[in-house]
Amino acid sequence: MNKKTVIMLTAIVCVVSVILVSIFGQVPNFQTNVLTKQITVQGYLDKNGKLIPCEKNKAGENIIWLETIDPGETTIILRWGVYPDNATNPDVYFSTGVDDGSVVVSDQGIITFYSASRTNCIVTIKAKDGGLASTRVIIMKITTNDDSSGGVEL
Amino acid sequence: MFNRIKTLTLMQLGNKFKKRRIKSKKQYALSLFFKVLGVFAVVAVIYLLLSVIKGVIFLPVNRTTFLFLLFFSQVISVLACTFDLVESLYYGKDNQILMSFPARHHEVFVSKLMVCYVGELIKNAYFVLPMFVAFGLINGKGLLYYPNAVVLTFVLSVIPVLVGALLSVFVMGAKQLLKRVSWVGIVFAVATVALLFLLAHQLLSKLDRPIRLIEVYNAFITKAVLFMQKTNEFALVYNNFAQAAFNINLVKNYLIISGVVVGLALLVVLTSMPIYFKMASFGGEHAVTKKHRYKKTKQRGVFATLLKKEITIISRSINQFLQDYILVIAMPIVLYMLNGFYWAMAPSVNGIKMIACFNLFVSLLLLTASNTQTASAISSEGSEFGLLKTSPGDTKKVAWAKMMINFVISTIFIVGTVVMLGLLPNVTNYYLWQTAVVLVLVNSGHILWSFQLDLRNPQLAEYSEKKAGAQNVNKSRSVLAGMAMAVFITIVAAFFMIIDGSQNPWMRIIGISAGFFVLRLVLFVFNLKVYFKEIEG
Repeated sequence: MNKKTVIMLTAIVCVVSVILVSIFGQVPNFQTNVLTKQITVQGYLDKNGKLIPCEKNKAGENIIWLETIDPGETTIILRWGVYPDNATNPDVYFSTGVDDGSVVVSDQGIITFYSASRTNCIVTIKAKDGGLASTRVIIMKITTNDDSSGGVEL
Repeated sequence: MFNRIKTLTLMQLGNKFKKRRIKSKKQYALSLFFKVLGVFAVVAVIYLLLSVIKGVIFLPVNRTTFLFLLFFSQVISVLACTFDLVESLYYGKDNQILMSFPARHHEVFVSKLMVCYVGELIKNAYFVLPMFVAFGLINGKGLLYYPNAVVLTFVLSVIPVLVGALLSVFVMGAKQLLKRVSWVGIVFAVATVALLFLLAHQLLSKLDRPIRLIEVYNAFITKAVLFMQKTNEFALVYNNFAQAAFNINLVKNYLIISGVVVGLALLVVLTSMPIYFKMASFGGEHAVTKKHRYKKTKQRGVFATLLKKEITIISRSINQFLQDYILVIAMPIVLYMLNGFYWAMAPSVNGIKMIACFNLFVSLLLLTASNTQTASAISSEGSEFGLLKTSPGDTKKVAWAKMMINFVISTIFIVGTVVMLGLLPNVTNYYLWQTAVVLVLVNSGHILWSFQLDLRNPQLAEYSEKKAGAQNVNKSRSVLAGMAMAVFITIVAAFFMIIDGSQNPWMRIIGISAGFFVLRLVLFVFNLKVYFKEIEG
């Protein structure tokens, strides 16, 4: 038993105490229930944290173009917003409809491609508050005329 | 030359691992089997953790995460190697023997680096190699990935040793400077504390209030990914390690890694190695030119004289003082940060009571862990304690003089902590002064307890031989007793404030703390009367 043990224990106690106070010792949030009416996708963050905005296709849907997709390497972080700003529960669900593990989207909108054969995906975003607000974003690899792997119809 | 380096290395390794010396081949095979089993167990644990990160937290488990973890672990390795090498190269007790052998000084230097490399390799075999394997399994890498990972682990272990050898010269220089000009240490410590306080203040002022942890979870995960990506830009050669591991430009990356290793080795040969002997020979010396002035010495009482002796010792070894009291010095900043978070969460009445309990717990953990200096107060005198006892007068007072310093310093920092917490915004009805009284009483009781541990079981012979490097079982016991007291007082506080819901819980908590202090005081006085005269220096 030495000082290092105490330092580690203190660090653990500090983190646990903050979590416990946030769960059992906070004044409840008395705001009235405001539902999310609309979800908008602003774009995605590059590795420097810079926002790259989405484009719109002819149907007016959000589309993100990626120059390359490296399996296990390509990770993008979606940026979205909800309307109204004071929505009681601004959380959203993300889903890709792909369950073969080739592309994974997290609860935080982090999309990672794990397969070289996967060159596109559609991410659906739905409000968690039980309302009907939802949107979708198409993520596609930019293809050239001589690239036979692209050109998948969505 | 190589034979001599090999002999020197094996001698040092034999000395380092002498406790684990194996006699028969069967025993050796069994030991090896358990070690390999240990590595596989670590692989399983890391694999499980990574699966949770990927499947539950939904953080990507790809090369970015791998590189971040590798870089982070290697930064720690570089720091550990640097301080290990400073101790082994310049302060090693085996230096006197090794230098007298018929070998060149640079051969001793290289042998010490080899010993450090073996240590680093063992550490990496238990962390970096399992991490390589776990990432390979998660990402479904091919069979060639695994032998490549083993080779990279061997090469990876060289870098912290070489960087450590280079940095050790600067650390040694800084240590020498701090030893000779003691006020530099104080200025450095004060500046660090002030800087940390400013950083804490800046961070807390940027928080959106009230914080609701569940609501900021998503933002936290996003920022974690961005932080990893940003940090990886500074990963330098470790980026090449990660690329080589994931089979990207294998030949090019191996060439870059080899170039870096050779470059570092050349730098070590040209800079650290030539000055090694000079620094190792004069590392322990500290020449002081004293100007003797004739003055009338004021006559003091025994207690005042012994107290002045303790103050003089502190002023001569500020670094040791800072090491002893680092947790007490850190306490105000730790509690300021912690309470900044607590109060930014808009705590309810129950929350305020929980905060008071956690404040007591964290403060007592830090305070009591700093009493290890008192738990070795007699032992650290070594063989000189006999001389102290021959002084004319009641030498038992040395015990009170030694504890007085600790008591005063702890009390100053307790008061400082309370004042700092009072400065936090939105702090209302916060029982700060009651907390301070409990802390002073329990800490003072623990100081008496710690001294009593050393009084009953002094390690004078151990300290006479090894000085500062001596292991003292009383220190461990003191830390353990402190933890037990911190848990006990926190449970008492939680009971009276939250479970029992007493009208005046603080009077009861202060009463129990005062009871503990009085008990320790009485026991200490009895023990001092009985055991002090029995201590033989």
